[in-house]
Amino acid sequence: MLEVRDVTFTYSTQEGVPPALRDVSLRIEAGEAVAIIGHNGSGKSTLARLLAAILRPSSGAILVDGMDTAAGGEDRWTIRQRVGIVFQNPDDQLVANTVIDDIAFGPENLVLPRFEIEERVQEAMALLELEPYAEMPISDLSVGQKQRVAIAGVLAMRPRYLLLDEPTTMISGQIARNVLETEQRLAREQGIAVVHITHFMHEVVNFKRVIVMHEGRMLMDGTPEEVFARAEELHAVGLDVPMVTQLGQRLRARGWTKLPEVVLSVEELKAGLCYSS
Amino acid sequence: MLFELKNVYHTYMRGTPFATEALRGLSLTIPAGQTVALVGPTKAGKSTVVDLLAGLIKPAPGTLFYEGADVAASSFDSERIRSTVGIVFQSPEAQIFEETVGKDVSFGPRRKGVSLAESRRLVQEALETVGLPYEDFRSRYTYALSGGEKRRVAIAGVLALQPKVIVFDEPTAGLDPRGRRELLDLIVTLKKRHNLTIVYVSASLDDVIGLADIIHILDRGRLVFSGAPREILARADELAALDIEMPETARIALALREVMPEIRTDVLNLTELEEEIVKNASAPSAQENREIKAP
Repeated sequence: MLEVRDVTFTYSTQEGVPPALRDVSLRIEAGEAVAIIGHNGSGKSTLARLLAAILRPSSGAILVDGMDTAAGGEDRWTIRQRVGIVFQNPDDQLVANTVIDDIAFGPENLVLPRFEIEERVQEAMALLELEPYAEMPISDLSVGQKQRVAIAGVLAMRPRYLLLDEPTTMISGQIARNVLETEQRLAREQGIAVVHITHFMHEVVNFKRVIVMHEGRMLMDGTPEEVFARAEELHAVGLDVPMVTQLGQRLRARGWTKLPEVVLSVEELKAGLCYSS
Repeated sequence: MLFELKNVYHTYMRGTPFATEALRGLSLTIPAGQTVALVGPTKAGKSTVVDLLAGLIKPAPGTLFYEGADVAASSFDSERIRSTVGIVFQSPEAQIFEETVGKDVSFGPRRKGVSLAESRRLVQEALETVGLPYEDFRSRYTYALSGGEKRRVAIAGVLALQPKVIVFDEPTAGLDPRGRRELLDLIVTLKKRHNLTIVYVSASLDDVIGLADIIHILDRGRLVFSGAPREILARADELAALDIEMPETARIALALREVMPEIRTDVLNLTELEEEIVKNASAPSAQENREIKAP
């Protein structure tokens, strides 16, 4: 379990600089898939860096399976192995020349036996459908392919918790949807807790739990239905509910009362509009 | 016609085993004073067109006309293109290299040899246009700017060269929805204020539907079709087959075709989509007596 206890974090010690995170408390269980949404400056990336033990809380504590991220010694190494992070720009975390070498970089540094390194690399490449690119130079890949290599490299470390900080900002369309599907599959089939950080509302629809951040505080924590039902509060902080949800609300107001109060997908919209004769 | 591409081919690393054909008989036009969008999936040839318009590569074979003149002709002075076309590259922050904002934006004018006073005026005007007050920003260190500010500085650097055309290559990549909105508004303002021709390159139609006069759809180095935003959206099924991201409204309309075969996909906003659904759905009052179809 990831546990955030009354955490406040300030980047600068100067007077008058507001904290990037204020009094945040939450728990994320193993195997959970959670989306964190907020604008730039809402504190979502700071939260990810705190969870990954890259930053330490100014006050409060962060516990990874009961281990304090502020503690030194052996625990820090264990935390680093259990919590993996994928950054926004894959170029920031790709280190080797070829795809296969990059994915092997993490397990090699865990000083694992050779057969285990090979097994983990093969498994990670299979999950992200990277086998055809195994020997390709990283520099020849598209941004979407690089993003998948970055995720595979983290997965080869076999983390229990996977944090992805805006992993779709550099990619779009079908590739972005593939990344999102992969995240759901990892949570479902591998029991990895996935924390997906984004500023795109339409991406959070498939997560069972959505956390909304605003100005360093946690504004909401609930299912997409619960969060999108508070459309006005979201709008007030510059976030909008997905278009399909807005459309559902408008059509309900025009008499299509069979539509759910919070429509999450086109499929639900179709079902609510379509009746057998 | 400002630019005309006629049956243009381009092969990168020609004559090597790595040769890749980026453009394969591309023909399209860019009229002066308009906002023209080039939209296509990866490897459509969009960035190669940017390189062509920037005068960085030449068509081989094929012809690029600039104001009716063949740019490959020996009589054509390539300075004509370079001095009128400004390029804002993908991740514009990568084209900032000076220590301070003022130095960076004045780099272009100073190379053109304009006087110090004139350069100062151009820099001031360019910074004000992109919404960065001159007195406040000119001595700021470029490394300490936010991502959005860096993008604005890069655009100001291009504006200070007084181009007639600005080419934007996927300028909103990596911005959050608010930053994206602000940048698109800025492009509209720029165009109006400086009477520019805008070329906007994107993998997604989302940005250009509200912006462009003409949209050219590219795929694998060729032009697939062109039209005004509404004409393009009407062909949503073809766009989906090309893996081109559409605005959410058009995507929802296309998905609803399954239950409403007659629904139009050329909707520009949520209200138009709502009306289109109301027109095509069976009236809600009639639903009361009917059974819901099993999901």
